Amino acid sequence: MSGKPTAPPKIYTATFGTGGDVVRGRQITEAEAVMERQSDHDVVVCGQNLADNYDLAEKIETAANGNCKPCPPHSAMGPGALPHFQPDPRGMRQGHTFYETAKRKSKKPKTS
Amino acid sequence: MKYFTPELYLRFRSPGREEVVEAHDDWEAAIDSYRQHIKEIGPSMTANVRNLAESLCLHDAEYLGMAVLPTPDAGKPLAVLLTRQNTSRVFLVYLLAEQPLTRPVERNWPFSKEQVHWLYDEFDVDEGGVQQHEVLLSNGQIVTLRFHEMQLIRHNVEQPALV
Repeated sequence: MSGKPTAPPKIYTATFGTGGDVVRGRQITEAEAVMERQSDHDVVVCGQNLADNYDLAEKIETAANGNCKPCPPHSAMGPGALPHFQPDPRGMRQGHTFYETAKRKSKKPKTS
Repeated sequence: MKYFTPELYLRFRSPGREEVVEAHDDWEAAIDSYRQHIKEIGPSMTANVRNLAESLCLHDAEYLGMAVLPTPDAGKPLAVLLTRQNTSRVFLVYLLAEQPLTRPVERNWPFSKEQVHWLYDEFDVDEGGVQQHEVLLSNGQIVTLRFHEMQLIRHNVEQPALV
């Protein structure tokens, strides 16, 4: 891990694009992210520091759904697929808390 | 599992953040190595299996079980893995070369064993040309199927075929 200080991660609502891409929406607070997850919506944690992103994603998913587990991307998914946390077990809950890595980033929404 | 091993997966739950970051790097390396491996063994696979090895993604699909069926005329049994992915039921049908093997991972499994779902899988071919599909399930079990041929059937339960 780099010792350089980095800006704190930001949280966004998220939707799926094509090929496993994660498209970020509006920026939200941590509390809003927990509520989004409790409503079965996806969110994504974005930032330069993987460990910070991982910690915040886990914190959000745990606050929203209790036990959770990490899931790195499947090999058949595209380069835009992001690792994520999800409830463990799934129960009736849907969605994911995605997070960015150095190599895998969310996509900006297309503007019309 | 040679690439997406349970040990590597469990490192995503390491207590130290440096270990977690290293696990992400090693996972990316595993994806690259596995894709290269599939390119190399592609010519040894049947067309169906090659396509599935390159595109099949049942990650997070609910695992509903496996049935092994005798086929008296073929001499080898069939296996059917049944999964549910969103609104589809996905059947993976294998003409087996030998009986399937299910075994637990060799480490403590910290995740729930309820509501079993598909985590990661990989294809291989041995020197004798027998194809193999291994699946790591969320309950810490690994299913190994060694087979001659494989087919996928996807049935959308919300849009049944017109009669």
